[in-house]
Amino acid sequence: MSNIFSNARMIKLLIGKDWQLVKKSLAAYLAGGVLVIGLMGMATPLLFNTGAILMITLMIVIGARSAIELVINEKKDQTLAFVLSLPVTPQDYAWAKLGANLLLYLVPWLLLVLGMLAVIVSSPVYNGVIPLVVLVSVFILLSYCCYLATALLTYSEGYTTAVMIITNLLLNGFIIWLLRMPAIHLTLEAPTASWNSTSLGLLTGGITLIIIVLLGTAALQQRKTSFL
Amino acid sequence: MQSFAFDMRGIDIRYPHFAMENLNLALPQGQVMGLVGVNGAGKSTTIRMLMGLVKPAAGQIEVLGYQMPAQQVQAKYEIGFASDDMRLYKSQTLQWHMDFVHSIYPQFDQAYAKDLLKRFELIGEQKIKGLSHGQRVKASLLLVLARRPKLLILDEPTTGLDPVARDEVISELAEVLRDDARSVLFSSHNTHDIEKLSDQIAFLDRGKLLALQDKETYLDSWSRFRCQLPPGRQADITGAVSIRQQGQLAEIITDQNNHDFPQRLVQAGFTVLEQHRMSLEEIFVANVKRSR
Repeated sequence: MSNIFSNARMIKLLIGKDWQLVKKSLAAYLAGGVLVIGLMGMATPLLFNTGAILMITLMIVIGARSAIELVINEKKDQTLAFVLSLPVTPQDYAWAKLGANLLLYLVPWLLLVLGMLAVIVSSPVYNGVIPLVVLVSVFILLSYCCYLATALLTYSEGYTTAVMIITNLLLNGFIIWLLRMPAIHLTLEAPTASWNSTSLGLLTGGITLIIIVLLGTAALQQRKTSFL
Repeated sequence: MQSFAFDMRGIDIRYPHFAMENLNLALPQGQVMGLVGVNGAGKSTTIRMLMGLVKPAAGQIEVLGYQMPAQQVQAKYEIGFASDDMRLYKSQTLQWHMDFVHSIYPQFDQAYAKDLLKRFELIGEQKIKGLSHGQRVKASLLLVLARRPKLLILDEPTTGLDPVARDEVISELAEVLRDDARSVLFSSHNTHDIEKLSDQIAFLDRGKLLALQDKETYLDSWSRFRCQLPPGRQADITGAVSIRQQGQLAEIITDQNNHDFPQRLVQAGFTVLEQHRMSLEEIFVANVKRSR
């Protein structure tokens, strides 16, 4: 059974290859992120809310592009045969894809979340929104992990798009659900971030689900016997 | 003891609409094997198993002394694989691909790669999306050949090429195959290419190996006879693969062509009018028809 250390050199080379393939589009998205953060930094309710919607959209688009471009298109554009002809096992390939996608999504995701938090902390915007911003961002990360898992396990554009649509619909429901929770909405206008048991419980639950999805993907990938 | 570039024994694999049972196929080192079969015969499945991408339900596969799929990483350092459904990254240049492949294979021969660039009339700085199908096939072959693999596995490499591009690719392959140490498995449903390049012929149909033999012996064993029959006589003779009779004339195809067969025809009362050596394509068609 192949693990991530048994062919680490090739996995690193494949991650480097994926970075080279998407670095230009990623730079463009990050430039967009900087603009959106600047918009939010104007600190008027209208611009902050508009910026927040644009930021959510940007996070979803970066995730969708990453999963489609690096996983689905590899199968669709028939470059998968080229990669699997290299000295890698299909499991090494899956590890590399998981690593590349997480790296190429987590880094911009983290930069955007930290940028948003920096704007909130350094502007007159109530710091009480911080738990909401973090929880929504973690939900977007969990959604990304779900459609990345679907892409890696099925290589199907249809299934992956379906999971994208479902998770995006759930995001709206999740935000409404959060805003209806007294433990969340009553603290939105607080001067400091209020991490109570509800918000901390949701955060822990979200992170646990992310870990389960990623480990489950790796385990299911190991059991596959046919590729291409 | 004969050493094999690959050795597949007792291979079983089953899909909803395809099954392969007890396939035994081996290629001695330094030989070129042409794997012939119609679409869906099992050529690509066989090749995917050799590359470790599909695990058979039963059987043993050894490639260059490595067990597959368990030791596929070590094996793939010495295997060059190209197929008609293999594409390169269209947003990148050929030079980018050459650098990428070079970073993986220490034995990648830069000088040879440059030489192949010239011979294939390719431009390293050109993006893959700007290449024609023929140029893309040549680019894939360049990346495979420049790493100087011990075993070359080519799955339908000439499919979709125009006659000129096909000729260029086949000529280059013929040049490469002069290296006696290199073993090649070449799959195609184009029997002309197989006939030109192969030392051995393997016929696959519906997951079954119909024939595996040295090319010359195999071609010699097949023949087509045009005969005249005595009035009212039905054409029937042992060793015939197919018989087409029209009145007193019959066309008889055999895969047991030797000095005896024409004599047997005469003894059976037939007058042999003509005897033709068959092309691989004709043999292929006759063989598949017989097996169905």
